[in-house]
Amino acid sequence: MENQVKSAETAVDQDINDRTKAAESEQAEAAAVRKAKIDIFFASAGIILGIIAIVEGLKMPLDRLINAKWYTAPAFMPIVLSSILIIFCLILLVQSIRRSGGIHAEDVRKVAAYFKTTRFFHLVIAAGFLAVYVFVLLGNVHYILATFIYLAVNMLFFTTKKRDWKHILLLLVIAAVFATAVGLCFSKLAKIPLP
Amino acid sequence: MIQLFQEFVALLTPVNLLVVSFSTVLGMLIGCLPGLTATMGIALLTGITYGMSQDVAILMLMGIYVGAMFGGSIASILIGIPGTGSAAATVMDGHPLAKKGQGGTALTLALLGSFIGTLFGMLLLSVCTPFLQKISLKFTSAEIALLAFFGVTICGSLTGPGGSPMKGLIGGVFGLLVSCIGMETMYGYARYTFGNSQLLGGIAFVPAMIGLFGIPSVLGELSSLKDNKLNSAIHYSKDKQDKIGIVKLIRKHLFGILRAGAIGTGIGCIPGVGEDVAAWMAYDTAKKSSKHPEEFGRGAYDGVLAAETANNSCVGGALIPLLCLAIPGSAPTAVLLGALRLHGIRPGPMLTFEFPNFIAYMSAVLLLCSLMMRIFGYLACKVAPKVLKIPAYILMPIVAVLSIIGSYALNIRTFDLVVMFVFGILGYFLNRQDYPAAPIILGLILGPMLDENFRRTLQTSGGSMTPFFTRPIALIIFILILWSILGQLPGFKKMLSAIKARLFPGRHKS
Repeated sequence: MENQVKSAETAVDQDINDRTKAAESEQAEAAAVRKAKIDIFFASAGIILGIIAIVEGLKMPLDRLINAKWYTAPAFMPIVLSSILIIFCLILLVQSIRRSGGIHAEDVRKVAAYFKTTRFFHLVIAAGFLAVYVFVLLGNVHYILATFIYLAVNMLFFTTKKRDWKHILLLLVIAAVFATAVGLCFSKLAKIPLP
Repeated sequence: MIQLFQEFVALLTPVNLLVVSFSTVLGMLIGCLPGLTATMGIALLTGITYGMSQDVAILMLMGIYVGAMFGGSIASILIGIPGTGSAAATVMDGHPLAKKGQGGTALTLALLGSFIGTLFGMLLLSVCTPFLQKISLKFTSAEIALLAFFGVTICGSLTGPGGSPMKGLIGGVFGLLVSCIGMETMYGYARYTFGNSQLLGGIAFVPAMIGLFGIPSVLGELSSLKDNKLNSAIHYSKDKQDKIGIVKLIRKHLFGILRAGAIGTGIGCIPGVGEDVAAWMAYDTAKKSSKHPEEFGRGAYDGVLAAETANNSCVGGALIPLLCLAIPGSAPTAVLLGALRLHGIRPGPMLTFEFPNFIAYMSAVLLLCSLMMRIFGYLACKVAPKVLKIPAYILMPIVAVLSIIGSYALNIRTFDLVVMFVFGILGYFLNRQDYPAAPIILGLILGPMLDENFRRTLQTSGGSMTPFFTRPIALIIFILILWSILGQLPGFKKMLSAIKARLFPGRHKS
């Protein structure tokens, strides 16, 4: 009786394992197809970049410089490399189209849907905070104050805990201590100029 | 060996010891934090160490490198998340051991494996490099140009994802193309500057490197924050095994450890492959040759030892092609190549003429770092569980702040921050699509070398391509380049297997 129960349990476990593995491989395949579809955009962007680089390269003097031949001209290497980039991107494009079956209207809708997700929103916010810190705060506000603002805003926005006054105070203290420590350590001790 | 000993003794100054201790512990902490890698740690420190003396900067960067290789295993064992890619194989048996209440034992084994591995790599570095250096002296501009291109293609083809390895090659060529921006060396002509004077000096690789390695981690972690689950998942317990037990274990698995060391160093010598492949290969070999393969994945001591010995011995291995040929053996050494150049050291055939004792010096640095790792490893094991509790919403903004200092400190140019930001955003999307960052950086570093030497060869040959095929070493490198590119094409692979089937019909079953 005990053996029968054990073998039944083993069979159930085996079944669950098989189903989980099948589901995982299906998910992995779906993710690979999704990535292949996005690769079509990336490969196309690479081809366009390569064409632009060749066009710009052709504007450079090929043999008009003193003692320059076409093979020593400044444009030689960029044109060769752009051509190789185009070839590689074409190979990736063909591989991606074969793998994903090309792009359909539904795929464009899916890509558009990504831009509405919380993850993308958080990405934009995180990149936005960084951009404001780099391009606006640094250079215009004192380094320690700018760093404190950046750290505090990030920590308060992205915290996963409940924002009660104790937690907020803790984060503000961490931001202040770190900003001051970094500012003083690098500028006074290491003598590294700060932005 | 005498040189190595002399260099080692010369390194034993209070300042050096302090620097190595600090950097090794820092490396261990960087390595143990999931999302922060050895490559990123070296990239961050490259900018920051710019103002320091050559010796201090090298000690610091090597300390970070060696420390991070072991540090990755701490998170792997305690929380089951690899701190670095190279510690992914350690999760397989390290974490099950921790779950069984043997976290302390697993960490001790990982530390000892890492220590022995680093020593193994150091030994081969000091023995093999002079021989390879002699061969590299025969290189002319044709070989150097081909070697630069080979470094990028092999790194691209090996780091590209399994599904589409072409992505690594595209990244490498993209890096080479980006390196063309700015004033070229032969005629001083400004390429792709579009009238912007900031671009005349080209794209500095340090901000680009920090952008590609650091910023994607920051943006990725912050945009996918759910809950910090690390707190509740840490399995740390003190040693159940006493010291004699650990020594017995090491003795029992000594052959396996040495084998893993050899695999790690060998893989490290192959340009661009790196520590993660070394760890997996050693782990796989240990499993296949074990008397109890069924124990692997459930907490086998030899599994932890193999993975950790291999990833640390890979450090010494990866330094061999870096120092002899200026071709990095792994992603962290690609960054290290840039750092060495920043400090006036040009790895390659001429290294022994410019810095006669440099290989012995690097071996001594590696030896000192491994000793410090051994000494401070236990401390890191105790501190790491606390560091792992730092939530990502606190840690990642701090990493961003350090990235900005690292990018700015090099040239004190605001434009470098723009470069870091642009490469950071680009790196995030490339990372999500599995485009490896290492070939891009390698392309950026080796681009000028390729451009200058390629055109110089053509200039001396009057535009003829024959020097690339008629010189024996150049021909071998050219064939290797073709192999690394064509090997990525499914059609070529099919053709090869068809040829094999014809040549060896008995062996080829399909």
